[in-house]
Amino acid sequence: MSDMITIAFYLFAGLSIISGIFMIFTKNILYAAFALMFCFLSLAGIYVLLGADFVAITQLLVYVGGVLVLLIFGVMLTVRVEGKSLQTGSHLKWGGALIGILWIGILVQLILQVDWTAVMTDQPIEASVNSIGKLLLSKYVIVFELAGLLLLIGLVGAAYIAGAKIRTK
Amino acid sequence: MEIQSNILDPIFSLSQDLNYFRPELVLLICLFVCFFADLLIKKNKGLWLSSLAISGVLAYLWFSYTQFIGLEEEVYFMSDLMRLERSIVFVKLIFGVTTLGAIILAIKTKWIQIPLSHTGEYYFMLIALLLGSVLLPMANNWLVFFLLMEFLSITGYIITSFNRDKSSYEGAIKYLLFGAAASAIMLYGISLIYGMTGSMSIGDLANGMELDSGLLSLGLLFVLLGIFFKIALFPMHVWLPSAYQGAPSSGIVLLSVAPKVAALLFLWHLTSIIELGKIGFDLLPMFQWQQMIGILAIITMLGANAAALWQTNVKRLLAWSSVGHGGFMLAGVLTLSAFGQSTLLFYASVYALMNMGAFLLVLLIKKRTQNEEDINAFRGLASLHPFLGVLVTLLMLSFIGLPPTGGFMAKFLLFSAIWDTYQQSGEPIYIWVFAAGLFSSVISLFYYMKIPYLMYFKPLNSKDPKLVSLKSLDYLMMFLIVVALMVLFFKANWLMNILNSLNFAL
Amino acid sequence: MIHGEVSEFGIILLFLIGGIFFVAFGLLTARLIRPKRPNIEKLTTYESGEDPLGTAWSQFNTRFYIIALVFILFEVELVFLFPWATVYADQELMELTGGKWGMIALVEMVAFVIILALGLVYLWVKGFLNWERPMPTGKQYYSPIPKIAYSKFIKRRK
Repeated sequence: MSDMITIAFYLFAGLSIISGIFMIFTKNILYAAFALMFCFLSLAGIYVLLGADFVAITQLLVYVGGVLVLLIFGVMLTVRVEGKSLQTGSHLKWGGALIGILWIGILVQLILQVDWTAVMTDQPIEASVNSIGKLLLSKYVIVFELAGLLLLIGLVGAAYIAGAKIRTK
Repeated sequence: MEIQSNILDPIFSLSQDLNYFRPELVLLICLFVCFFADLLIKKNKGLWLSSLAISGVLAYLWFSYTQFIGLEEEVYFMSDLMRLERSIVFVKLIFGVTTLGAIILAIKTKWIQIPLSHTGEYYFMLIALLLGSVLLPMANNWLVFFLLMEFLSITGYIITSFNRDKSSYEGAIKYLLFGAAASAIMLYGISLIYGMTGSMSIGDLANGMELDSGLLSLGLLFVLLGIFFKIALFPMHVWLPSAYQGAPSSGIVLLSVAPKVAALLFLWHLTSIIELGKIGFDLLPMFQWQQMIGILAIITMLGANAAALWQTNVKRLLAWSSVGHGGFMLAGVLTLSAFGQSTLLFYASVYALMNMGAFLLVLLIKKRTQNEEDINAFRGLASLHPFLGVLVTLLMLSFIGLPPTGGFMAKFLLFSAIWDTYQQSGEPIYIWVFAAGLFSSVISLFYYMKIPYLMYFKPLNSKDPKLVSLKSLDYLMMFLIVVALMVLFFKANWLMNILNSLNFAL
Repeated sequence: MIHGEVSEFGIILLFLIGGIFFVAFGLLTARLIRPKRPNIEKLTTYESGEDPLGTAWSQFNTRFYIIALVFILFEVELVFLFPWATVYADQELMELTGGKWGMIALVEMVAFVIILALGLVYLWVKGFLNWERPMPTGKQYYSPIPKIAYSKFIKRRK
């Protein structure tokens, strides 16, 4: 059983890395959006394997179902989309690559330094939707209500900005 | 299962905990009243909206004041998610007064293309920004902290793009892209900290110290970058000049004070935990936390003041000056003493006042130059309006930090706090911060004095239109601000006595 | 990493694999069996029998964006409703708190939903949801036959 899980983990991790790399290197912005979708999907798989079922469902619902749709709408809304398919270029390739490699080096070095046995816990994983619900309504209630307010503010602001064109018509 | 501490206790103490949120609840009510007024009222909308917003903020100020009187020591509530101490309540008062100033300036903006006072969304965003910055210093949990940082960022983006013209969209998109990157970095840092300490509580950071891990330091560094973005300090300051140029002046009055000071107070809390816990910061062996902040403060002060020398747009100039003042306040965080915190809050109050005056000035010259805040609009103004000339000169003296103004006292007190800390610890970084602060004050003399210089010594350009009828209200507001600054010089101990009595938990 | 508790998700994984298999199987057999003789006419995009004009890319109306925003807002709200729905009538907590838990859970969720519903109210009142259709620009046709003749005709048919 645990072998299966390990295999599934590497499958999802590999898929997310490959689709991430494809997203960065493709010139067509719509392909990049779809690559991002595969990246999100495989991340949802990893969340499932980690026992975070609620996060996995959120990832599917909000990111794959919502944010990505908004992103593709954003692409479709641009005036430049008519005619040729939308292309993106990259600048400062070598500098970016250098910083990226340096960064991976630092991270790997730091991750290897950590004494993971001291950090890990043996607590069993319980069904997370239930305990998230309980905590959200009791201890973290202020976070819960603030998140609602933040969403409202975001909506009002986005509608105000996006509505500039609509209103003046 | 920790059902008792996590679920039952929070439920039973909820009504008691809400008592600590009285000013914020008033603000929340005010927020929704403005929201509905915007939707329902058709006649006399501007008058209704502004009076509702002003009365809401006044009620908030009253409740903050009673909280200030009533509170004695640091309290933790909402099952340790939030904390409150008197310095935070004092800052609430500063923010409230600044918001009042911003609303009054928004009412005065009527003659410019978009009547801000008629857009309910504007009041909604201003009050939401106030609410976020009031709550941020109270955060004692990474989740609350991150949510409030997003709160401030999103309201900030929207306020910046409020003019809905080209320059405001340019500023807002720069702000947004930088902010998104900063949020992502900060969130990554928070996840690293959570992974290392296993707790979302900021106070539990000290538990990570025996781990002595580089990843924890990296997480802290990332969180620091996120905070620096909010305060607009080197190296996360790049968005600021464009954002200020595009944003409505009344919005910047609040935007440049409230999130900045709130983030600084949070940084103070974080730094004190790190220093108390003696958390090893061993990402780069040569740097300690204090030293790193000190070096960044030095770079910010010198760089920002040097960059301001070349600005010809008043708003951009003020933006760079705001970065510089952020650097000074960051130097105040370094002291970590009770006296240091009093001086920091003194500086913040003076800065809020000066900023209000400066942006009132921007609005006044805007009349003259058709919405371009070119510094040449000040040419020869003193011969037209001699009294305004005197007031502006005093205001600029305060910005530089020269007597007889509150700006001098603020810098004087801050420098003496840094000097005290140097005497106590003997760390060389403090003397460098001290020297950089003095030197950058000297640099700032050149660009702040440009404005009085243009007003007095350059001839009036005959092509320039006159300042259309300066109303007596403009004079009155400017006069009140300058008088308040003078009072803070001659009677600085009034404010200092209050600040010293704040009874810090250090 | 999770141990042993994956079985519920294992079913989902099986479904996924099954779905992928069926789609792949269907497409593959169709490819093997079908004749393949393309010509230009066959390869054009099918557009209800009309000849397609221009590219498939066209600019969307900005209104779609606001609709998508509202969609995301309520989707996030929905996500928060899931954990709430599993615990708001929790037997153990109800007993421990003497029924207070259910009341608090209800009030908190109602507050959350109302805050978000206000966003919809805002969009509605401000007219962001109004979809102004373009007016038809064709010529008005005046029939020489008076309208009353039509109604008489219809009556007679009944």
